[in-house]
Amino acid sequence: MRPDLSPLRISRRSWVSIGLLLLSVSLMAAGQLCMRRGMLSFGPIESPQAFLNLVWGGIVAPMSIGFVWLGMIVYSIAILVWLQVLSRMDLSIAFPMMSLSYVLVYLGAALWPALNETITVGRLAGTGLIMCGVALVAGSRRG
Amino acid sequence: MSVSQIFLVLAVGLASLAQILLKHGMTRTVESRVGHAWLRPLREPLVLAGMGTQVVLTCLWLVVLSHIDVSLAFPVLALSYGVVVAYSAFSMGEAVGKRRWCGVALIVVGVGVLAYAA
Repeated sequence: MRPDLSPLRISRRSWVSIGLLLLSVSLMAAGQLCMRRGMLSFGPIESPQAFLNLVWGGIVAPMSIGFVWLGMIVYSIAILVWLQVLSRMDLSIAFPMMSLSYVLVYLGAALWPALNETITVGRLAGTGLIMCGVALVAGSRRG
Repeated sequence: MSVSQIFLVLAVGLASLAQILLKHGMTRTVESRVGHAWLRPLREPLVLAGMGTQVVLTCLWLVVLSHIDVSLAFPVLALSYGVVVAYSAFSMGEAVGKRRWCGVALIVVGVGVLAYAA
């Protein structure tokens, strides 16, 4: 006798939803990393004047903050994909799944030397807890 | 509190608000069935308000990122999970059970550990 696998079967529509969710989350993480890379080059913003310099500089010489632009463009695409995800899933399932991007940001920050970020056991533990939370949320359908 | 810390707290509020606006807007978009599926959201004021909130959030965020490591600042945004899940459970009537609440709690605790380890 063949075991009944019907409860495990995932519809085509659900696969597309999951794919869009993963794409959106990956783009969000990449966008964050690029924005941080760009702001690291620009330097700390201590005054409204400095923020205006950032905006003005970004308009007249876009390549001076190229990474910030790249990050914002990638992040915008992530939001467009995210809108489609929201129209397909409950917000209370979809939104916590975004925390996958914390793990991706952490890995990216660790693997991108130019970002110069620190790796510690404490930060790894925090990331692990977040992953467990995501598994719990993703694993529970109703309740 | 420094300016970047105040902006970080503001960012949590704006991130929650943006998600709630987008969800309400997209729910109405799905019901409307006018125009192309990927352009339809742009006709919905609540979606545009959500996107506007994201723009303000991005400005605040660049200031935060100019001061703080992204692997530390970004996780703090997860505090908005509590806000959004509570809102979707109590105000929108979405089904949120114990396991999902525990998952959200774990995520928030994990973020706390990350922040503390800084």
